[in-house]
Amino acid sequence: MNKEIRKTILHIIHNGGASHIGSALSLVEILDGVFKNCDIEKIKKEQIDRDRIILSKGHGTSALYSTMFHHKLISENELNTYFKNGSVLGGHTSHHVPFVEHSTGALGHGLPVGVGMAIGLRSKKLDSKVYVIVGDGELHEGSNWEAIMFAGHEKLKNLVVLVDCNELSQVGNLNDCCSIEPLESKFRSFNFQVFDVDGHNEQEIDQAIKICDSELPKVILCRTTKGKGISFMECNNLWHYKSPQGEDFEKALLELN
Amino acid sequence: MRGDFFDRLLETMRKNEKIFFLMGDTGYNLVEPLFEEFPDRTLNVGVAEQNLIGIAAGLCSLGYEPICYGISNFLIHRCLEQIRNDLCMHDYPVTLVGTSTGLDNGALWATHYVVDDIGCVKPFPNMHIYSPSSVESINKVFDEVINLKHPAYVRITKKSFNENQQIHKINHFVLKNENSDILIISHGRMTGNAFVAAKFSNDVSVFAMDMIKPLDKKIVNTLTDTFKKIIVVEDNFNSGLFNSIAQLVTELHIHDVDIYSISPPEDYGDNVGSTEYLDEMYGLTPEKINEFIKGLKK
Repeated sequence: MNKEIRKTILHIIHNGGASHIGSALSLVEILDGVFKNCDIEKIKKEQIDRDRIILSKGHGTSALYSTMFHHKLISENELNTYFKNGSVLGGHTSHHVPFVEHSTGALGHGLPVGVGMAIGLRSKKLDSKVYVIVGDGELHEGSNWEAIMFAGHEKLKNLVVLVDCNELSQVGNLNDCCSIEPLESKFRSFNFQVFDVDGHNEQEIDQAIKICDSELPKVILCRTTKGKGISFMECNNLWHYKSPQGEDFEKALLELN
Repeated sequence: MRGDFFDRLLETMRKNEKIFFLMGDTGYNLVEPLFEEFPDRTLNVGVAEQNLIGIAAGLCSLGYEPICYGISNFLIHRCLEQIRNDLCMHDYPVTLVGTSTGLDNGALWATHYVVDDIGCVKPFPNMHIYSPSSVESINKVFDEVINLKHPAYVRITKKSFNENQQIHKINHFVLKNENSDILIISHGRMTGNAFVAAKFSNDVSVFAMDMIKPLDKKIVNTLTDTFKKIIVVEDNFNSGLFNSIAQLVTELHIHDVDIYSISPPEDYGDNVGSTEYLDEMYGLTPEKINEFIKGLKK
């Protein structure tokens, strides 16, 4: 499935002339792992007790839409409009796309909103979960830490935060700019249960999501590679911006095939 | 006026289970009965306004219609992007109730003035803006926002002005005189000052524009038919109500009305002072408003 999701990402970004492929490719196993752990039928019926998924790093939305396509939440026809004139599937996540919970793109918004959903579920005594996927660079935004502090204080055990730790932000290495590590002890000190996993290992992500032995909110630090799966894109920030066209596209496709 | 708001809120939360009250650690000695009676529908998120707005947006996913309470400048300026993206873009029914408006916090200095909030949120699609002028109008505004299915900002002054008359709707005459074509349009705390100013001369009318956005086109049309000199008095930069009325009058091609603004200049100032002191400095006291009116009559 993950190879297929990557191919879909490559195709829609190529066809739309879009960017952010590196940021999308690091997210694939995380998103697929989350969707696999949700009751898709409840999402389709928009039931109040559905699990909720927020992609807070909205620039990785080609990965979200591609994963939703493979989980039958977006049709092929809709998906093929990605980044094209008149489509609701733009370069950042939009709630105008059916079954998308919240629009994101400006960083640092998804976690506070996810905390609100988790509080709402608790208030209505529903035991569904809220999954919020954030980027590691996104954690520079202070609003995240307001939400993390409050989620820990409130012991929101229905909140699962997954951090896509690909170590690259827009300009270069994240830790050259402003180090966010050590994330494990930071989250622990904010009253979170912490898991540190290989973000491209489906089993590790799945196990971390499934463990339910704590009364605390959960964070899964997913160690990933930006551009994962296409060798010349891996750890290369050029592919934060560049759209795969011509020979680049052919080479990328060959690698994924 | 804040006490009137909380009395009404408590009563409404008993009937309406959709209301979820959130606050950013403001409201001591006002909010306690709400927290006591509704522990599952009240939350103090601490001094964290960005989180406050995000949480309110998230609660809408569960069908709640949150009310966020805080000091106006923190509730608006600290989290402007959250208001834009998380509330207005999604058209969520969240009501922001901001206290300490305009120059209410004069002596606390410019970080605590709120003279630029209306102009900040006015361009956001779906946003409704209210600035209740009196104890009577706050009840009407409350009833309207509680049934509104859009984001709203309600600006509540610390001061209290009682009209001592029954009002039937928001946006209404506080004082109506047929003897002249001079009208003061105001909102919030300034309506009390405008009322006293108009009493000096006995031939000036005062209209309270409790709802600033959407601006009522029909009312502006009617008022400009009757009154040919309109003074907009507000404790906000002229990017607030004055700007909205001037724009509408231009769009409606109304050419026979002069519109004036009495408002603080676009400057945060250097010196502190009480609300009354700052009112005096910016021409917002009843006496200064009266002087302005006299000038128009010459």
